[in-house]
Amino acid sequence: MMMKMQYTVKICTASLLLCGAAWANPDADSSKAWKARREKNLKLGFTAERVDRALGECRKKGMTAGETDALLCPVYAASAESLPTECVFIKTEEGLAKQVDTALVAAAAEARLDCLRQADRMVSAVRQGRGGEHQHLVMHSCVALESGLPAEVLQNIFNRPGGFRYGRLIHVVEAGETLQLGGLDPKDIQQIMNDCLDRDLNYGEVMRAVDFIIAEHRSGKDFKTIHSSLWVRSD
Amino acid sequence: MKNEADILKQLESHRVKAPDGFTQRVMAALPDRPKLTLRDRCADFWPAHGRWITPAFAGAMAALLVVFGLALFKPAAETSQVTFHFELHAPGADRVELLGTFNNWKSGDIVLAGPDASGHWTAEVALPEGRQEYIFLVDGERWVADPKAATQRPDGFGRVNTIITVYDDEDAIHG
Repeated sequence: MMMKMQYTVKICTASLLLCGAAWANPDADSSKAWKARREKNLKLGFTAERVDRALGECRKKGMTAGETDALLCPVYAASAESLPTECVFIKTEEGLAKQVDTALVAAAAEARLDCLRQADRMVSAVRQGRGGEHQHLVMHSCVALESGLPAEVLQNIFNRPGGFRYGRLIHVVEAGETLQLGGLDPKDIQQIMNDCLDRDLNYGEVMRAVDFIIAEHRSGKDFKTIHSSLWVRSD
Repeated sequence: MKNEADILKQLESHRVKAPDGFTQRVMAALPDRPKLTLRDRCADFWPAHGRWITPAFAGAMAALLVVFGLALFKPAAETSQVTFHFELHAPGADRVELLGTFNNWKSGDIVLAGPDASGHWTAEVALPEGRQEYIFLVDGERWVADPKAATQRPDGFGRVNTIITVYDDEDAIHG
């Protein structure tokens, strides 16, 4: 009887010690917090591989779960505002992959969120729906704004008379961004974007025109000359 | 048994022939048959006391769902892939990686083969149609934008990414 009691006391003591250790172990607590962050990001629709990689990079940098949450705040904000989260998350992934300072990553993600909001406002002003194509157009417009394409150019394109076709608009917004990065004047960019819409060009056709314009621009030709020779083959 | 035979006999004796003209008199006494309109006939078709509402409503809803389902259904768009040739001249390098939007900036995912005799590192990557950003990582520490590419863009971290637009040339204008 005595032996049995001693055995029970030993078991109870060991259990209490284990529970106490777990309670006092900050790692166990932090592991719970990391798990919660993982679940939170998975719920946003990102793959487990991407979430684990991003959180792994944060842990490697010695960040706490709370600091990681703060870094991913623009992603959560985008989700709360029904904006495409992918656009912000990939910027964060880029910063983490390039091993840049956390403050820089946060600033870049925040800047992208601002562009995303601006793009969403612009598209929503002409179209109310927030479906798949709307989100794509917002994402492309956001990146174009970030690349320096003036908002007025996009606004004029969205407000032009005629049908509002998401697919065609996405192509010309992408073209506009590339031309902007290629160093063309916004006024000329808008003309090319309008030309592409007037001609109802598909993606390949738009991009081939863009490649031609950039090559000619690099060779030192002025826009008037480029434009006059641009549509000769297709018209 | 006998009882049964008696009963049958009694029953047979009850069959009295109707008087002449009885049927005509009865028919003449009946009121005229009312003429029913199409609406009256249709009203009779439905079960009384509104019991038809639930199954009819359910049927209508099912039909609507089918119509909307068919309208919303779009077969998954086939994203065409285009094989793109990446190349970097880095004769002294031990390892060159390629990171970009197409692999979610995953390091170690695409490692270029090389160097060849002239110091070039190369990779053939199948990319989805669209705009892509990328950068080379040399020896795990040096970030290099593609010097051959036409378009570059600041990455927001003090470096520049290279932009490429991937499209199937067969879709483009031929002239």
